[in-house]
Amino acid sequence: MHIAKKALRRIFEVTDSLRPLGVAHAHCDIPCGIYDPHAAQVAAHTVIRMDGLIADLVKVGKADADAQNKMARYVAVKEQHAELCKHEIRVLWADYFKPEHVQANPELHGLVWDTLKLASKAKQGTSMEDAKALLGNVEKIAEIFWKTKNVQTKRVKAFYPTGEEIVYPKV
Amino acid sequence: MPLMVFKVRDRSMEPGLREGDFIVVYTWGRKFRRGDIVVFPHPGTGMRMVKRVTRSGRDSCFVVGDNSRLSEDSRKFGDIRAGSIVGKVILHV
Repeated sequence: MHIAKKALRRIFEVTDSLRPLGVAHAHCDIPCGIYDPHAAQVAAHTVIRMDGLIADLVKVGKADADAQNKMARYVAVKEQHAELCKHEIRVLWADYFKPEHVQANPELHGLVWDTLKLASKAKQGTSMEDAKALLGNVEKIAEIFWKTKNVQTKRVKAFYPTGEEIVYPKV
Repeated sequence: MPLMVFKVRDRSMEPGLREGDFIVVYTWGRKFRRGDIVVFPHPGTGMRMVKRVTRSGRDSCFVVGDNSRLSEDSRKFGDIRAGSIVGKVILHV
């Protein structure tokens, strides 16, 4: 690379690290056509579970190394899965849903927006109410997803210790 | 300023533009020709994208990724409005 270009790239890299520049997607939708809202739901369930474990640990009232280690792990997993949930929802929104889906489900954009905000809120705090609201929204998105494929859905109690529901396609 | 800088993400413009490259975009020019690389919002989602113009009309452009096997572009979402284009890439590093 020409030396001036190298210098310019370095300037942009430093600028980007200090204050991220906008991103232009050279979007690579292969397109594989493999989309599924299941992963987002599992991630939301995990956030609920971690909030539950955090609350249980607080109740025990211990602050020894073992308790602190557990707390750190719960928080880390909650953080990861809230982010994973956001990622999965973003992929559905940007890659799967098409204008005609939004036309048929005008609430979709607002719902996705609220869901991403709720996932951030779930990261920031440990409120079970927020975590359950996140799952509720993700379930709504899952139902819309399957509706766009003309597949009926059912809400069933998940086989997870969260005690919450999950949306499955009726196949 | 008529110039904007963006960072490229994803791979549909390889080998010309690679993930992590920076592009300088001239935003005042309003004439787009075949071969120009342009930045524009995805017509459906609003996500900012970068593609190459392969056909340009008076008010619309057909855009395709250079690495067309890996690209979501006008073949999927149709022509884009020329008025919606942010600008033309004049430099990438």
